[in-house]
Amino acid sequence: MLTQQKSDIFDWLSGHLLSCPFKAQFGFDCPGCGLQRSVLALLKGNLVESFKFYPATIPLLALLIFTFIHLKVDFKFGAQLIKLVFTGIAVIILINYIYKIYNHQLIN
Amino acid sequence: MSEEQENPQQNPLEPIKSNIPPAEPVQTPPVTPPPFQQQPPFGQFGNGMGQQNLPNATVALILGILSIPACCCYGLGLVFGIVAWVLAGKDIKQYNLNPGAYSLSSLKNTKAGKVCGIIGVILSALYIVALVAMIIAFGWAALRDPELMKELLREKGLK
Repeated sequence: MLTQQKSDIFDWLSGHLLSCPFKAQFGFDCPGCGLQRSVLALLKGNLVESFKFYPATIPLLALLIFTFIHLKVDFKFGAQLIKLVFTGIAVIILINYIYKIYNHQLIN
Repeated sequence: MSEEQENPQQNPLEPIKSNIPPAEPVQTPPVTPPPFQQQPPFGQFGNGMGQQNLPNATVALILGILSIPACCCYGLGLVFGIVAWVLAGKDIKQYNLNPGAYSLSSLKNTKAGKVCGIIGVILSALYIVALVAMIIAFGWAALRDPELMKELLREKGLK
């Protein structure tokens, strides 16, 4: 029963993802496309699939969780670490988008 | 002779011994209080000893980080990034006017928020530049029509 309910929730979610306005307008992916599918794959526990949809999801979620802990506990190195990881995520997103352009995955 | 030799050895030692005890109580009282004043801002997020957090430190940090997940979709990333940048800039000015009143940790958070906001804005701006470049390269009509776009790409030998 529980597994059935879970799969129902995932089906409903995957049917109700917010569609990207840029993709609707222009027909090709924006740099943020894939994030929702990736989070959904992560919720299902599928790390590899999540990484394939959008490589920056896992570090991004980790950074968000770390930020909330940092705001509560206040690590000395916290602000510096957040800056570094954030820069890393930006680089990952850029590389991912350039990779997509070169492999013609933008138009589906 | 032996008494005279022992005495000069003992005599220089005695004044040193007698000097140390008064020196210790004089030095220790000024040294101990500052650590107690300095520790609270590092330990408890600046709520100790009357130091406040900067008002927008948390908001700037969270908006700065959210500027990437919200990037591109609905243009929210650009808005979040700019808001984080402006709020952090204001707070840093406020800190510089009165550095003693605000905690160092909230200043660090604010600066991190500013950096994150700037990166988010740069990423969004890069995307908009890429979009404009594509519109110039392929034309507005091709971008609205995926089939036409594919044909254009085939003509140019890209696909």
